[in-house]
Amino acid sequence: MSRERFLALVTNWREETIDEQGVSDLKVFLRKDSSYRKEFRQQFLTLEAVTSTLQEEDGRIALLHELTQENHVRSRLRPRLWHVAAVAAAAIFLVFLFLPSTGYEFAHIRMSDDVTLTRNGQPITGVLQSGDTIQVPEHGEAVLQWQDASTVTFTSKNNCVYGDGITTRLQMHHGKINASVTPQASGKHFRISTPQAVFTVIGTEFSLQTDGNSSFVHVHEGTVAMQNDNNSAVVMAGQSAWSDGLLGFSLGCYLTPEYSAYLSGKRVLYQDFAEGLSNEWRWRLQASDDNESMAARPWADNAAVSLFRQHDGPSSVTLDRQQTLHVTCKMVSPGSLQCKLFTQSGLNDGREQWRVEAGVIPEANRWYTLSFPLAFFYMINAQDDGVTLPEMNGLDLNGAHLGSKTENGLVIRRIWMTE
Amino acid sequence: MSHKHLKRHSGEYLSGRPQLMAFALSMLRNHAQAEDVCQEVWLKLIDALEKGREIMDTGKWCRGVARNLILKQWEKQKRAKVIVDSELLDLAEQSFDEIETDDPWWAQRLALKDCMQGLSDVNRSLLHMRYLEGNSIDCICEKQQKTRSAVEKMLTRVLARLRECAGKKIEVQR
Repeated sequence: MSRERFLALVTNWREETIDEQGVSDLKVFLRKDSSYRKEFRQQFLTLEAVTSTLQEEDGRIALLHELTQENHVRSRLRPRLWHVAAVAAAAIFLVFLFLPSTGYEFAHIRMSDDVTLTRNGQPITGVLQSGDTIQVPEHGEAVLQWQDASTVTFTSKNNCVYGDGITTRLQMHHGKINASVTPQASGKHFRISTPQAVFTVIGTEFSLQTDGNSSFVHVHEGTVAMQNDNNSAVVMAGQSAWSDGLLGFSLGCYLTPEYSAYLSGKRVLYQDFAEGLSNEWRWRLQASDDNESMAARPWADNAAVSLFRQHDGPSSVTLDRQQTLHVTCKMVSPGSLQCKLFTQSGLNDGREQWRVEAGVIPEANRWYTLSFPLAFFYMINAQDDGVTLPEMNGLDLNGAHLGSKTENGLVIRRIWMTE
Repeated sequence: MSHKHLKRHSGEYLSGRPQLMAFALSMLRNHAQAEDVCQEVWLKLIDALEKGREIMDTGKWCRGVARNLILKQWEKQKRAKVIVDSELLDLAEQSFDEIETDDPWWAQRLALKDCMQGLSDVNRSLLHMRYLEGNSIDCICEKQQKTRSAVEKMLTRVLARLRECAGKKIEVQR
């Protein structure tokens, strides 16, 4: 059997036009050798890339549609007879829309006996009011249901405060929920806040978890916008995002699946990465809990490609122009770097390959505008040399970057350093 | 489950999600169903981690779970007569297990996505209908007023061109 036959079989399989004999032949090929299996895999990796791109485009269109829906509807209105019925329905709808906005949004709670509701420290029963505390123990069960049929199910030990229904439905301090939210009427928001972020739900199903230090959201369906004082991001269906916002500074959030990463740091400032629709790429460095390594993932395709083609094992990346910021990285998986970040100020171990010195020492608490041509990326084999990378103890060094694509390399526009 | 632990496995799941999705697509050939499987796998992963289960290779573990979910789905759909075949699933799983660390699949994926920008509206719409909306070829034939073989050829050609384009981009980068 020829390769052409194999390709035809894969096509038939993909298009669901294959017959029993075809399936049998396909298996023979796949059993035969790895080159066929590779081709099979490639076909579907291609299909995945195609569908995910189409889906991303769809998501953007849907979001834009959501944002412009009101104007869109208005511009398309034409005087027709059946609009009489629509006007009547709209009147009813407006009544419902108006009522909740004038005051308190009621929710019904179903719960097991061990769930505690308190108001000003006193146990309560009956209707929840803004500021009431809901405490769900380890194996407790509680489901909140609002008038619009939106529900929040507490799926683990939970501690949260019932919101006012206008600005916030729920303030979660700790715990995990699954939520199913009915699309909200124009001007209304379904918001859940955690210590790190506010999640605005635009009609969706999602899981949200917080342990007090960070929040994690995974969106099953629809869209969730997350934001704090400085930043915001839109999380689409199938995506997840983390946020750790510490010391009152901005949160970081990473959209997934393609660009998964986390931000964890003592102080990180970051600006203007809300759009997600521009040509800019973004990436971030993450300090691990022990501050011994940094992990970076690029935010967009072009950056990933650039970095990927530089990959040849553990690498030292020198980012240098009138500054002495050095990053030692190794590629841990395609698109994912683990990096050490250190400065000239005595924290490296003196190895020349890690010290390309020029210009000034980065001053803490200042923004830097740096440019990093790809030519500056070079490789050393740190692991094979048995090199122990310098410790980062004593210095909480975090970087947050916003960059854009250039022809000759990467430009990181702003870097905020903290000591 | 420690925060660090969850982070690690989540990261591995998320960075390997395109592969998992491709694996699910290779068996289900339906985007929505494959998405469902991936999300179900995600929930099972979190559940397993919460129960303190040790997972050495997240990608492989996820494929194993996806495999079982796909089998269950097939059984539910009662498509067992011709297509449901755990051996085919095993072979597909094996093909994804064989991805080597230096396999440039990620670069190819990015290049493909880039190549998608150059697609004509007709081809984009065709891919959209078939692979994202999950319309059957017959349904597309009706909508597009084209013959079955014409639609099949167009789809095959577009995908082949995209792969060719991605291959060229990677060559240039090298």
